[in-house]
Amino acid sequence: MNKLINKVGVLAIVFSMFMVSCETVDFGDENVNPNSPTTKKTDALLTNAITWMPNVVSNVTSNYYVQTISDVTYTSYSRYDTEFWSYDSYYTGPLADLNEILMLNENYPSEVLGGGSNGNQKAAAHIMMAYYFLHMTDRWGMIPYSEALKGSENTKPAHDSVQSIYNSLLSNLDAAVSMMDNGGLNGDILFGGNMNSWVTMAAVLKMRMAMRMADVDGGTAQAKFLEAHSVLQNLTSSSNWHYPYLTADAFDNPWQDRFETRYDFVPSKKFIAHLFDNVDPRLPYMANPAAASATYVGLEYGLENPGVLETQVSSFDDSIIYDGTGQGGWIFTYAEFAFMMAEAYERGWHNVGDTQTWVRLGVESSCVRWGVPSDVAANYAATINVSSMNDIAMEVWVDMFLQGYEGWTQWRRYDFPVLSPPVAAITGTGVPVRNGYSQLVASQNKASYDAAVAAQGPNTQDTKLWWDTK
Amino acid sequence: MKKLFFRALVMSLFMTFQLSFAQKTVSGTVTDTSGVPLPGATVVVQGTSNGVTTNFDGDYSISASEGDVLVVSFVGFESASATVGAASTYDFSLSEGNALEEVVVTALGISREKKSLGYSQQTVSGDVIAESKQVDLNVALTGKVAGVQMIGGSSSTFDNGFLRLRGESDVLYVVDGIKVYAMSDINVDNIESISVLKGAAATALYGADAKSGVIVITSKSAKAGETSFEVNHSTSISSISLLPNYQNEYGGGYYTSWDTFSYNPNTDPAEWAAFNGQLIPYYAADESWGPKLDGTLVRHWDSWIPNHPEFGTLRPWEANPDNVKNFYNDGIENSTTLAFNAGSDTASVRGSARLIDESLPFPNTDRNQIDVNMTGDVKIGDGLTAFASLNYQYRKTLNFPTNGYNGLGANFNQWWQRQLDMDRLERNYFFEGQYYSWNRRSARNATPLYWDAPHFDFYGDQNNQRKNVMFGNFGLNYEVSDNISADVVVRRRFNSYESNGRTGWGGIDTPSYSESTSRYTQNEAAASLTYSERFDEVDVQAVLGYQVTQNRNQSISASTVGGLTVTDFYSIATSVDRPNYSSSLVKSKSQATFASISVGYDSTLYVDGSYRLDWGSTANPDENRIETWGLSGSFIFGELLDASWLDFGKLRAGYSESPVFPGAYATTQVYNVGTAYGNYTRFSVPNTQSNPNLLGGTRTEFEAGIELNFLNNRLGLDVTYFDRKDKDQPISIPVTGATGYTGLAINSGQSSAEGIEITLNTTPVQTADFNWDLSVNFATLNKYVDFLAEGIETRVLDSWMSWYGLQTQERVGEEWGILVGRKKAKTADGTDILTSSGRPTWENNQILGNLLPDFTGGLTSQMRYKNWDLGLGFDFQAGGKFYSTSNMFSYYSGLHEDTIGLNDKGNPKRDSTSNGGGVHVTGVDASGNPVDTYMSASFYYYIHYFGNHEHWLYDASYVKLRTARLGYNLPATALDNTPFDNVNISLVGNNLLLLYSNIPEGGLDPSEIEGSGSIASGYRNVEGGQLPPSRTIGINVSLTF
Repeated sequence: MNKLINKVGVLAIVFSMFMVSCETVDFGDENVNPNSPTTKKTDALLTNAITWMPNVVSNVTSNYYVQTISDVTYTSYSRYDTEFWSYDSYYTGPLADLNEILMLNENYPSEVLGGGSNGNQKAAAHIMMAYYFLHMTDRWGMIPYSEALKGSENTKPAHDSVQSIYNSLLSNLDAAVSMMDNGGLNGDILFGGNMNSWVTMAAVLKMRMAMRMADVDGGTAQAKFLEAHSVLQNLTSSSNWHYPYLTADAFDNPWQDRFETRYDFVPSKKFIAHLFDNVDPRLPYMANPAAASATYVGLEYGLENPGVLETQVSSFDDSIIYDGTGQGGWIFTYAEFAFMMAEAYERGWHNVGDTQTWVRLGVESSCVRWGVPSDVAANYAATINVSSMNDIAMEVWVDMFLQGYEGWTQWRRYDFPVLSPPVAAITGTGVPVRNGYSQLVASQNKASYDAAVAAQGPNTQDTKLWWDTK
Repeated sequence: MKKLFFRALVMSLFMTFQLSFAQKTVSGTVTDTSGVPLPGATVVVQGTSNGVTTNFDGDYSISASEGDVLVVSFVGFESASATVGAASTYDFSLSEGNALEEVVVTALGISREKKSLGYSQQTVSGDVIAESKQVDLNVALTGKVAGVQMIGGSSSTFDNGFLRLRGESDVLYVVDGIKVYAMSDINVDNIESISVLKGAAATALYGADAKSGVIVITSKSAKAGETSFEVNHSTSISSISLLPNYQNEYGGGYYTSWDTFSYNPNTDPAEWAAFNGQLIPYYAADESWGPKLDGTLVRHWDSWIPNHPEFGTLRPWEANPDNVKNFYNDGIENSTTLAFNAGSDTASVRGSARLIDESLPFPNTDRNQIDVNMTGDVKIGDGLTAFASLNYQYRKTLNFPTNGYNGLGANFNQWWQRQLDMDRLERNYFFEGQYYSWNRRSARNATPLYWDAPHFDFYGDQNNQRKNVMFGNFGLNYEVSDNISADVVVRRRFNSYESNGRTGWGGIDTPSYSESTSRYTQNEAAASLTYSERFDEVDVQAVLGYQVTQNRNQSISASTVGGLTVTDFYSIATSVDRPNYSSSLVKSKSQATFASISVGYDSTLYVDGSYRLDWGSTANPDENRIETWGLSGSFIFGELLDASWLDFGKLRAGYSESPVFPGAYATTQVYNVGTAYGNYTRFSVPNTQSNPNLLGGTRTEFEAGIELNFLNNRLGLDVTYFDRKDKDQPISIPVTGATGYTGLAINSGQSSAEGIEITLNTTPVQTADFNWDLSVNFATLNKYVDFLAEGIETRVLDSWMSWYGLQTQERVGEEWGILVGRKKAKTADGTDILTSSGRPTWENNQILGNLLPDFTGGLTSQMRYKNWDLGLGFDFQAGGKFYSTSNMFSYYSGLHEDTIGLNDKGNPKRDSTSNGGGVHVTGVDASGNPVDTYMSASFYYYIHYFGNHEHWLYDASYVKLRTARLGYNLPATALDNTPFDNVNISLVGNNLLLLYSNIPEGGLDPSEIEGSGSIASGYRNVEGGQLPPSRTIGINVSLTF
């Protein structure tokens, strides 16, 4: 026994001496993370980047800006309680994943073929990036673009002008289409790998951009519109893309989740009254009558203390509150296309059909999309007469109910219907025409922030964007 | 080897009960030199296992033969001995040992003379800890150690408090050499002593884990010659001690007028026609701006429950001031400890078991806990000793009450209707298989809008946890020679938690079920050599060792998604959608060698050095060694001065450097796996960019102190100053999200902390009958942020909720832990700057305070008069801030008593402004013109107080009488004819009185702040929906055989 202990003692000394001389100890693969993979699975990155879209297509706040919804009890949201919004999560979320797809296809082309052909993967990634960047620059104006997504290589990315971002996106979309090949694309939950749909999406984005640029660069706008039109001309009345919500809780429509344990939002008085006055057949598909009176009663927008019971005002339709797979998450609709065609005709950009025809096509498609029987829809559409840009704007306003950000952007272009800010608005001086940068940008990226403010105007929600000149 | 040990253990057990060949009984009294009896002194027949302890009067009686040597020993006194002769009475008078030769436990359990230490160390005796009858060690330690800030959990819940030692919360707890996983693994009844090592110089031998201080716990063990059996039982009752200041004049609703029921013949049953025109409260409102509680007859929530006897009845709309109070019960805790000790010269064994059964002041809460602790050692050969210990804990908990914004505290104090009758809610919330809530959407729609009935939270919703803990060691010690001893020891700890929770069927939320298991294991093996020798005037003590450690933390959790398919049945298998499943495994290994040497000269000068090298698997493989070292010295100058007023004087100083390793897996870039979209896997790029070159950071610490004793050692003062710097810590620095990341992992930053810790021990009175010990401690701490990273001035430590973004930050040049938010804009002379309609204007991004206190401390008083003793424990804190969500919303929702009353016109505030009501608001507008207006009360308490961070950041200062204990020892004469050696009965109170706090709106105890949401660890700067504190009063009986 004594010997044993002596041995241990000697061993301890010897080992200690030995160890002291070691610079490092080899622990093998002890520090290999068993919880998270390093596998270059680009299809999973694409899926993840797409599943971020509900933040855009089913957002709440942007609907306040067009005043189609009101708050029942907690009304500060409809009174612009937040002026400064962070754009960080777009970059750290989907854009970082899409950028990773591009990087992996560039640097490890043969290792990522599980995601589809390199060309198709890059094309889809570029188009999705264009989708998010366009949405972002239309919210904030100048944003980090050309120097963004570079991690520690550039921690102070510059804010690029809206115009330069538009130009870059337009050429990226063209480049993306030309990258496509006959290989596959996996992880594509939007179109199941159908590259023709991606071509359409690229054209949709291009046409939207063309419409927005109309007042600042009419020449380019018309050219890009026509390029997009050559792709989109074969769309049919049922060419509508809704975000593919599942019924599973993790991926169902956030509108449905919002009503699970709360009751915060109802259609506005202005919206209900407009539909009611026009005997619009979409009314019963968009809203329910008030439970107490069985009549359509909208809630005045932007009141500080409405003082009503939820039973006294109309609610959203059940298809939004209880289902949400077919409403409350439109990415692009034929109606939007038709209204763009109508406006472009007004602007003299093309001579296909005429304004009235396109608007009626748009309204009819919109009614059917909202659930109105096709004969009723056709009859109603036939009653629509258009005599001005404002008439188009009004139809867009109705059609884009709950299509928050797109609806807001359209309203900023048309400035119609005429909306005024709530009396008890918490921030700003008018209806927001921009979202302010989060205060963090001013501290984390100061020089770039200052340059952006100097270039486009104060960091408020009242500063108009590059294309918003009217 | 194990077999041998086991045999020895069994033998030793028998030996202790073996009868010696007693020739006669000898007896006597053990006293100190002034004749005061010494109860609990040990009397042993030398060389045998035969021993007894003295009773309360210092008397003993033992069997011995002539020629035997009786050895008497008592802690703090010199031992004495006598050879048994013809006489049968042997009295002993023990002289007090030199208190300064007090031996204390230091790093790695090494015993050292306290006077030789060059760093701050404080001992707390296990008796003091056990006396408070606290299950929570951190609470029991409160106020007893300088530099320890205790941040209580809610005392009415199962939450644990946590400690900040010199401002840091990652304190290491070591029990008999085993680094325990959680503080709650420790059985406070089984503690012999606690040694608190605060500085890195003291803890360098533990390496990086210990840089924020170590609580070294030595468990009780049997003493040579001791044979005893102890029974200790306590029963205590806890009751809610503080509730918010509620108003009782107005009931639920958003406005003071009544709505009426209008009968709809198309949809309502015909018999409801009679209800037409009846007054209905605004059920869906969870605020109390409703009609005055004037006895008006209305349809209360339960009058709509079909088939219920209450259906259709009208009852008065009246106040129920005690409704919230009536929700709480008395919690009862029964705790019983059984222990035996048997010790001889060659072996000792102690076993103890503790059983706790505890219910809280909340319905349907229960906790059962069993702790079993065994420890023993045996001499198995010449100089060879084997030792082992095993500690086991089983703890089963039903229903952890939920603090925080979605919990019951928030319901009662933030979102509630004041008139609700709690007894009625309890009686009627469940009827004919259906749950009902007061917060129904409308008369016709029973679905709750925001809140279930309060009892649903404890019966419908439930959570369960089972915890199993095992930790122990086995080792050998060999005395190679008089100077050298060798130790080998293996240690293992294992913690497992099994939890499940459910969201009940029939409530507002989708029913759900979740379960999780987690296991935390650490294995350690260590070998060391200890050398000590005295060469004339030089003392040398040295340690050399080697250690291997393995950690493995694994957790698995699963939860249902989208609801459950089988009514009233809770399982993962019946999830509507594909259930969520996640697992995590974190493992690491490290190796270390360490050495320390202490050299003393003439008992006046000591130098002490520790050096440790660690190799860790979590670091970059090319650079995975770190060096920890500490150097300290002490100079005992008291004796050189030869001043009669000074009994002892010592100066000490130390310096240390302790780096850390980066966390596991931080050096490789991976993808996060998200919940699959249907069959599509989702990967995402993490938000923090990894860094393959990440290293551990370094802490350097300088510490100096002075220890002085006066008045025959009846007054002792210990003052410590420390200055600490943390550099190049592996942190995630924030970058603009436009980089694609929110943070980059780098080595950067520097913060410095300094503080003073003072301990004063006095014995103001010391007579034969009456003794009074008083101990005061006091500590300050300042911690500054010197540098974060190039171009980074601010780092957000925590941001909570989105109510205008209150943040806890570290900011260069500022004290660490600033609270940054908004405050009302004011002119230079303090007048509010308002809008023309009387709304406040705000200044954002203002530094509004700091979460670290200015100073903390405690006071303990122990008085003994004959057989009685009285112990009191106070603790206090000055400064430090926390945010109160509860009080903010009690204003917002009209629950608080401040929201009622008269305005300056003498009219009720809540009357409409057109009727002379409202709150008078005065100030100036932006251009300096006076603003003078009346604002409706509900709007005023919203617009002026919601998100008013400055107002709701409370000063966390307090003074608290935390513990009191009145004990009585039965006199020995009363025990003569009983089997008992000692009987003690005491009354114990915990969390007794909040003597001072600075909370203008009341209702909160700043000494206990829940950790809200993600910030539970370390900050506790926000109260999001605090549950009320409780006071515990109990009786304790302790019997020794």
